[in-house]
Amino acid sequence: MNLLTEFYSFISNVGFEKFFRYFYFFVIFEFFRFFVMEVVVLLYWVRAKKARRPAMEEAHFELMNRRPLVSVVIPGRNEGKHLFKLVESLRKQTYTNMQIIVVDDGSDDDTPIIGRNLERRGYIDLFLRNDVRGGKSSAANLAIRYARGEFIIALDADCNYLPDAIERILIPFYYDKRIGGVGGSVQVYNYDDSVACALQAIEYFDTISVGRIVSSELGIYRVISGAFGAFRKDAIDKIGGWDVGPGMDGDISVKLRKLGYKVKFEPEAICRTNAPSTFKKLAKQRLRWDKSLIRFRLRKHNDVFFPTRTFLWINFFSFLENVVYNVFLNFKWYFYLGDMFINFLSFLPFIFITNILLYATYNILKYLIFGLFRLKRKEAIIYLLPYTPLMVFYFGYFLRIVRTKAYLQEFFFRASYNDSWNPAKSSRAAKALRI
Amino acid sequence: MDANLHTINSVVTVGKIRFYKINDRIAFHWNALMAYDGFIIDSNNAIFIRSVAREIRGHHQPEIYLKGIFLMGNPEMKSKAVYSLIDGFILGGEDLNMAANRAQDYFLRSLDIHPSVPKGVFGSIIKKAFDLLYTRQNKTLAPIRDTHSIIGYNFPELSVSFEENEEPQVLDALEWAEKEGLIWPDFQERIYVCTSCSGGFLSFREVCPHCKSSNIDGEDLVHHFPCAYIGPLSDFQMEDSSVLNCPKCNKDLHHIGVDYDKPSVINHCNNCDSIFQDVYVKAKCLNCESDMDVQYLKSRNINSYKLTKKGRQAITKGYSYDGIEEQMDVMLHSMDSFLSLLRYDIIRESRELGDDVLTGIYFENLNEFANQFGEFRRQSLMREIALIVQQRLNDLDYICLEQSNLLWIVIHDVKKIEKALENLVKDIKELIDRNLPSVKLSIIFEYNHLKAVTSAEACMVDLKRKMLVE
Repeated sequence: MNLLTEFYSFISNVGFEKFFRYFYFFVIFEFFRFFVMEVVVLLYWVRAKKARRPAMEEAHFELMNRRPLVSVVIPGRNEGKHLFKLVESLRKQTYTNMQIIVVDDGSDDDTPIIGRNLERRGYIDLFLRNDVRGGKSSAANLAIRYARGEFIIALDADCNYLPDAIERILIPFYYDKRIGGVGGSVQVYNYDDSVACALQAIEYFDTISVGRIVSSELGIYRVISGAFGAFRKDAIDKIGGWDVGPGMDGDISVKLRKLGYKVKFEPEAICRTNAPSTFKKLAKQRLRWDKSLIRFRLRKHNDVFFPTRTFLWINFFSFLENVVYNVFLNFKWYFYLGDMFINFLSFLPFIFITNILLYATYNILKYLIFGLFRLKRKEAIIYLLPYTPLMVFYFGYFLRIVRTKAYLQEFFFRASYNDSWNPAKSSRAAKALRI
Repeated sequence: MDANLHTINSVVTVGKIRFYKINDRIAFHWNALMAYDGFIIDSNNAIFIRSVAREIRGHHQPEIYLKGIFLMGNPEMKSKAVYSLIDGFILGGEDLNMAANRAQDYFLRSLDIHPSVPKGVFGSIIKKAFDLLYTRQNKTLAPIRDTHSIIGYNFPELSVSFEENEEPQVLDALEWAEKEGLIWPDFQERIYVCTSCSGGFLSFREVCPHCKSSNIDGEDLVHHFPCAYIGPLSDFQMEDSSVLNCPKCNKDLHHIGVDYDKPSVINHCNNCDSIFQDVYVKAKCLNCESDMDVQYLKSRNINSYKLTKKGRQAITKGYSYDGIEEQMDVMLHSMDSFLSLLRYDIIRESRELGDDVLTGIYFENLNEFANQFGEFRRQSLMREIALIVQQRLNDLDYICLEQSNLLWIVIHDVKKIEKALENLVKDIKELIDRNLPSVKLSIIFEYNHLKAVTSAEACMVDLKRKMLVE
């Protein structure tokens, strides 16, 4: 009771100046960047989208008129159990001129039997198997080696796709011929499996999907999701396909950008994925993702920051925003924590509680407002609403700690080269060549 | 001993044993040679030896086919099957005595043989082979690899009764005898035969799964570790260098396992330009040119066989089991019983006690059907046909099957016989069209009123002539 009175007293007397001093991190870096700025851009996007509609309809018409062959490539290891469902979802697509290529990257389960069976039954056009595992990049590269389509669509086997997903993801290519790659919108399919899944579903809604709408509108979109991405075949050929992973989806998007291609996000092309159902599995996945930011943004593609032959201001800003908001501010948060600890130790519990309340309110507000911009899947919104206050712990603490660990591991130990996601032989070779 | 071994087609006598020595194909008739105790073939001509040996063992009279065959000298024979048909070599006088002893032994053992014939399509053929094995001290019936045989194997003692393209029926006959418990199999080999003609000479080819062309080329896939490029070996090959070079990162490949590996292979069809890894394996029959998926090939076991106790008893005491025809749901008479009944009816006719008709229905290409679909299906078909026939007969009418493709029927007191037989044939054809639309069975029928004939045999010969010759 005493604590509540003191907290009330703290809030009543804090004033604007002190509030800013105590909560500047939230106000400047979180609220401004991830709410105000995004709402502004979203509003702009709604207008721009309306303005683009005739041109998009024309692009749609041209696509359906020309009906180019599209090669759908599905690389994976031990994914046989998902294949039939995936193929079923592809057979329901409104766009039908597809060449489906499944590459089995040295599976040690029944994947080869399932794949061959699907190939024989004509459900897929080509099933390729590497008896020796080579990594997802090599599997995807093998698929594009034999792809005959004008466009390549890379999918994950454990996802399923809304019936118009393929059609939707192809339209931007006819809207702007300079577009080299289009990312689809990934949503969490198993959002009601566990708390971890529910929180990821909110994250995919608010941060990933809306974040990608915003970055795409600003021209700084840089990660075409590995679960659902479309590429011009000639562009893929020019960049030589995928390089050694992990983080190959972000890498290929950057490679396209560096060649001058535009990379766009198509929120209406929707793919549903199964998210990791436990925090342990999630941490493992995110460690891998976050390490790749250091490896690819700050090492492999750091030429984006320098006036080289391929220098483009848009790429420079895209990278800068990415590095500042993900790497710099991640560590900056620890400085903020230290700052509060050193200078306002006596108020620390109140600052902590206020931060929690601020972030919780912000998350609910963001969830509701961003909900207005969501295109499909309204049914999940109500279900996920009670989980939104937990996002403060998920995003503010869990993911931040994972991210910090990943950055430090990659900074000092180049840990991504030891990730078992990729076979050691490929990682070793890539490490030796610093790629 | 008449030791003049080198005169033309002469007689060689060793004690009481008389051999007929054959060194020329002219001027003798087999039936005239029944009185001899054995045969000596005196020739260096392998084809001649084979032909004579086959004629002796293939003869229908036991007085010929059970006799010993000895070969003068030891000429080189291409066909190993001949060695199974002969009983020994005569290189000198001693061997002649040995041949005489053997010939006598064969004769003595042949006295034990019961004259009964197993019922069924292969009855008389099986009997011939089994009698031969029995008289040769229960010799093993062993398969011999033979490129002349349609299945690639030959059972000389049995195969002599079949044409070379009828070898699958040899297996059918052996299977039947095995099922009856007359012989005991000893597995030697498993072969796969054509589903269409049962031929064993198959050409196995890897073909394109799309267009089934065998014009395909396979290539190793190469994975370059550092840049994750993967493609066929030809992508990495350079015109002017033997070093492999990565088309993506332009680096040379050095050591397999260190900077690259070959994780798989890829095939390209030169006919339809498709890409695939999983080739289809097809088998082309070199006999009938059918092209089949290997999973549908029929497998047959090639065994060697020994007479069982039951088999030996059947040879000496008579075949007491029910044969194939008796397994049918129809009452088929044996030829002997049919002839007896026919004779009785002819006597009845002569007393004007009825108006009976002897009918022959000949299935002209039924053997081709057996070659194509196998003996079992042929028998099933015959059973169905016999059933149809029986359903249209009265209780007094009777049927007999001769040589598995000629059906004899005696029909009593029939009116409008021509129309009745036409309907019968029509029903048979409908049965075949319904079940085997691809088969065009040629059916010929003829009939004779029994009043017009004098003997059963003459009546049947007359009808046979009409059906088979005219």
